Amino acid sequence: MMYLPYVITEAFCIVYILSVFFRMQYEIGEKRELLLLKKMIVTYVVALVTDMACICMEKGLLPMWNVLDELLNGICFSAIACGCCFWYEFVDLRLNPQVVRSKTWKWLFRLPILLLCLMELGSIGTGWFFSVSEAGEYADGPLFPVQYVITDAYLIAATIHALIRMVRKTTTHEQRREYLYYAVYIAICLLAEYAEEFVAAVPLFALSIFAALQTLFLSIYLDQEYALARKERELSESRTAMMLSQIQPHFLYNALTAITRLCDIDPEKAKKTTMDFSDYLRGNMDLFTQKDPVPFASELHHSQVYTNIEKVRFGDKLNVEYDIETDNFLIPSLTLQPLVENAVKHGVGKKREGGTVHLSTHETAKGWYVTVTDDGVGFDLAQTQSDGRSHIGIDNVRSRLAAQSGGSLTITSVLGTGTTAEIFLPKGDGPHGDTVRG
Amino acid sequence: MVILCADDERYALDVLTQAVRSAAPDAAVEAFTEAADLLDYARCHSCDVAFLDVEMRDMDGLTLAKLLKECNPKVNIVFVTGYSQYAGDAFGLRASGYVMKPASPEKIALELEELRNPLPKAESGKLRVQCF
Repeated sequence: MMYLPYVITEAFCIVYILSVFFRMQYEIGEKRELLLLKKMIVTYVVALVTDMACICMEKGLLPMWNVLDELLNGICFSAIACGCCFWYEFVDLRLNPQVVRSKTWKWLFRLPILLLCLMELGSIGTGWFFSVSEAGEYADGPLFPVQYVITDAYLIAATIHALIRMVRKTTTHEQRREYLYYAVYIAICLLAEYAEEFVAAVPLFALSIFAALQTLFLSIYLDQEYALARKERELSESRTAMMLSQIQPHFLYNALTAITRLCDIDPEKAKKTTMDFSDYLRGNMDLFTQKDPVPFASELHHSQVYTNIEKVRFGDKLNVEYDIETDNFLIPSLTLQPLVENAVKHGVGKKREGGTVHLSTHETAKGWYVTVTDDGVGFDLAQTQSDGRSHIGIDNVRSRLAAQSGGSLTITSVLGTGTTAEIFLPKGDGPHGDTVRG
Repeated sequence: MVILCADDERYALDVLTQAVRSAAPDAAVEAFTEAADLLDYARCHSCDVAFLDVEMRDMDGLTLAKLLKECNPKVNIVFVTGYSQYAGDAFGLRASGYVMKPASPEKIALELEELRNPLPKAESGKLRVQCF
């Protein structure tokens, strides 16, 4: 009765893997990968079913019929061989996702396996690979090792392929781990195949393949989930950037109006302002496309160009002061600029006699502080929070600071006195928090 | 014809008054950088047309237009702005027109031809006889 746990375990594997197979009808993962995984599952199920039938016959659980038993054995070995081939194709696809193999290449590659399958079926009656005696006793044939050599060659080739790719310099950390897994799967399966000779009661080989298939399915599924989540995040990131980089049409036309006048009375200043203006537009576009924090100096330059233009418009009603202790750090792009713009537009710009915008930075042991202060009209914080309007600009600045640098934004304002906006960027928070090197 | 111009930006105001002067060479043009000054003027002088910037630091153009209409209901208001976001409000105020910055003599001339409350053509100096 030693074979009973063996057969039951195999039956369990079949049921479970079939449930996975039918889960795969849904849109998960890359199509070609799923197709190969499906092919592997089909060969696996075929091999298990035929194996179970053979054992039941050989152990007298089913009526013995020699030719059928030999045929089932042939199908079982062929299915295993095909599975090995699909495994190589799967690894090849994961290693070179961009490459589409030609039909000729595929069939040439599968040719040894096809020949092997034909010979398996040819073993019926000839006993090349195996034979089943009149008494129902299974025995390996003289050519039996050949099939191991061929199928194992595919598995080992896949492993070597993955290992070579693993040590390549261009390979990322995640890819390295994935390729190592491929090598490990095969090692485990080969070990299980060998160990099965000694542990007859447990289908170790079948279980190891089962585990490998199951893991593959999960990894394809999770890959897809991660890719989706990443896409979503990138999309919302670019949306915020777009929002922040949106140039107010008012600013655009007001600047051009000022330049129109300057052409008459001060061509030299008109020239400089036009250049500032084009710098501003270009800087806006450049910073908009940045996904990672940029050197503070670039963000500062952008704000300077902006205030230069506003100073032309507002004349002596707008003063800008700088107190830059340090610019040796990184800051998410387009986070300083909206604060300066707010200070100019809503702070100083609403005050009858104008005012001053003060921009300063300083460094402490904990991190960097960037402060934008204005002595404009100020506003009531409590009222602003409950006025029902969405403060997209400030919210976006906050979320960009937090997401890219683990930073924060504090705004304090006193009605009639002015507003202070302070950015804090902590040190040593991931790769982005580091100072600029070189 | 008396034309008032208001814009809190010096250069923008210059562009506007220049355009108005060349579109209406005979008109008397008064320029203001502050809304309050314009209102003070309008309270003791008559005026026919007012070109108003929509966003000024001491008062927004729409409020200014309302106050101006209160002391001079017949005045033609023309808003001057960088961007047409306030067009709806301008209609609500029964404004005469709308000019996009930078103001040019052509744009101003067009507005002066199509005023909401057209001015009597008295300035031509010729005698006009009308028979009923």
